[in-house]
Amino acid sequence: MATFSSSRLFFCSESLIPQVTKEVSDAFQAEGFEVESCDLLAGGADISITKGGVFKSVLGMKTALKITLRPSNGRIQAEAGVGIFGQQAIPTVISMLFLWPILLTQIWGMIQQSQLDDQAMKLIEESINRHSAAKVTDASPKTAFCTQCGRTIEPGARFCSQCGAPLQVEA
Amino acid sequence: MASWFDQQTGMINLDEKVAQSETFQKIMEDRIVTGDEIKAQADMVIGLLRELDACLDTHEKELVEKLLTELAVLYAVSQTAELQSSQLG
Repeated sequence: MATFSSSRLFFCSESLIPQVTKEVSDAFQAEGFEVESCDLLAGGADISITKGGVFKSVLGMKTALKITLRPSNGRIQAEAGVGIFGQQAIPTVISMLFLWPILLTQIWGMIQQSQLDDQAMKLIEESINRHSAAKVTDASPKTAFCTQCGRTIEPGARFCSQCGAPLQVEA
Repeated sequence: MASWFDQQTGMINLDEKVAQSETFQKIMEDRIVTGDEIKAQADMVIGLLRELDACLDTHEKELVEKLLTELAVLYAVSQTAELQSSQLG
């Protein structure tokens, strides 16, 4: 449900998903979060992030921040939402609990208040930028384009002003 | 009586009562829910509503009625939204 999730499309190769998954997982682990990731059958990866005392348990199952990275027409679609630690979908016994909409609202509110979803998106972006140096195609001395997002690049620019990808000019 | 909200996080903790409930544990023990179990649970809920209906004063009854109604609304619209999401794909 879009109300309790945030998403962003990253203009980079979907082949970066495994590296991004590892780096985001490592970063949250370094902050003391419990993290688990798995590959999705349809492609992409799912990351569960939780911490006792921050994310409450519901019917004995730990709730978590869920980050999903999916391939999307050669790009990466990232989504942050509420889920159950280690599970790709919220179990029916929880989603059918009549208190779940209240708990979902409160847990998502906590995630947004502590900006955990923003932090996850920032980590994803940083990881992508480290591994995805966009190449600038020089059609002419005055016309250059970022091959990540297609934006026209000013001569001498080191980063794309639209997608932020670091640039290197092809010889 | 303990608060319905965690004192530190402000999170509602009524769901923990569900997990601890003898009726929930007994019904879910074999992971199969039967018609008889649903009927027995429904009868218990009706009994509790009758008890409240008889013992609450006017103001308390209005509050509980509003809570039960709005909770039912929240649940119904949340389930509808989930169905809409799954239909849109």
